[in-house]
Amino acid sequence: MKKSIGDNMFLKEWGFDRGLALVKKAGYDGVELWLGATPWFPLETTDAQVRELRRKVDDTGLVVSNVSNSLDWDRPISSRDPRVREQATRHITRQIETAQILGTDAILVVAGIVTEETPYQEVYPRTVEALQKLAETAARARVKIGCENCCSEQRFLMSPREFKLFLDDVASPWVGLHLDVGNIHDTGFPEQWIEIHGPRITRVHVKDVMRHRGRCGNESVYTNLFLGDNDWKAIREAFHKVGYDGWLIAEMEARYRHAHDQQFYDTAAAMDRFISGQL
Amino acid sequence: MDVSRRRFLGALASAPLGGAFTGPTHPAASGCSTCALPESRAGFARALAGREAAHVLVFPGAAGWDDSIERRVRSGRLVIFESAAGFAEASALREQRAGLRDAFGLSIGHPVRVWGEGRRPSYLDLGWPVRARIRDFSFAVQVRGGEAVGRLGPLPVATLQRAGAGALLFLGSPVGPALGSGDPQAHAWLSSVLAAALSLCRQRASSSP
Repeated sequence: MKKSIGDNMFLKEWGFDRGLALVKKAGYDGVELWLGATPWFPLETTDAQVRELRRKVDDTGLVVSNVSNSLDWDRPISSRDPRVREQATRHITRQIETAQILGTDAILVVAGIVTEETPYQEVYPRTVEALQKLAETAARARVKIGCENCCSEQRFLMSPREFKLFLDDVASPWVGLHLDVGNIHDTGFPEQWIEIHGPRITRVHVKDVMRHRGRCGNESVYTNLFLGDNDWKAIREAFHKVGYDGWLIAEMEARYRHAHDQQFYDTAAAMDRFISGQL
Repeated sequence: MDVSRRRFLGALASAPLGGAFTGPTHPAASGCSTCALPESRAGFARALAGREAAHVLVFPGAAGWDDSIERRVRSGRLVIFESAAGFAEASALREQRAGLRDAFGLSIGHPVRVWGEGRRPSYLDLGWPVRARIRDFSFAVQVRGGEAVGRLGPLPVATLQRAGAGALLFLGSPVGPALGSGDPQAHAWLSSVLAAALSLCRQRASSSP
């Protein structure tokens, strides 16, 4: 397995170059780029500018593990408003295009968001339909769309079997699961998600979770690897069982209050322990 | 095969299912309604498939106005006009408002955002031809005039206006999406509307000399 971390963890004052240098120095193999989340990679980024980002990644000795986006929450493909859905289709299409330029074969989307206003029974068919269309674009580009399991935040596809039926309905080998092992909270166990989805897993986000805390104001339910309730031995064995040997991408919501760069080193060291099985 | 627009409309009007749908989903010339909610059109189409609906015409998720509606109503059809003004440009609302006023004496308000800070889930309560409770669809268009047949909380958003040999059923809160997502009350309501339209037509036939 290979290690990556998101560029959305770079402090803004570092900029892209200094952030990449830190990622390399901390021992990661790649970097996850977040479309729409950073000053260096807004939605309006041109092809030439994307190529320049890739050149910088290449020059640092890294590769792009995947392209994620931060735009789905405000512009979901499950919106009631067709105009918003059109915007969502455009930014996901752009994600696919930038993934091609950046030399990676996977993107992350948050597919479908249930709210009090936009109910589950509407979100499900709308999201399936939108992904079936996007899958055609993804197939042409040979880039896989990984739908992240943001279970509690999304209030959608809460169980692994539900997620499986959803992917069955989308029915495209170009749409799979971007598994976040920290997002399952107390509604299940990531090792079971891994066993159920196996080859459909496109990428993996890693972070730990304090299952019984729940969100309280700005207090995060997430924490650094090995500090929470995930059973990392079981997770590793499940990956071994299904033969997952792809990217692990650190996504730390709770950030260090001081010495921000230290979190990159500590997380990389924890991921090394996980990969090597010294648990 | 070449088919003229007139012949095409005629074929739609006399089709066995009877459900005519607004065609383009993109802006069209004034006087021709477009559909701003494709999923509403899909919901109605799915619900009407294989049903006897010869006396009903549906304009689902309508943006703007269609000049043919008045003629269709007066000639004996039940036209369901579902407004999607909340999802369309301001000019579409202006056209819709003028059309409803001039042809049917109905007055509609600006689309109201149903969901604001602290609002709770709300429902469209329909009272004709049967009672049905259907989830709101974020925007609602208030309507005055005719026989009020549906409310969304305090707002009258559905009305039945008889004209000539037919009637116009105005829906200011879309029902098509609920049909598409399989809401049983929405389907039961539509079945009753189809039956009511048939009855309306028979009454017209028996009263004619």
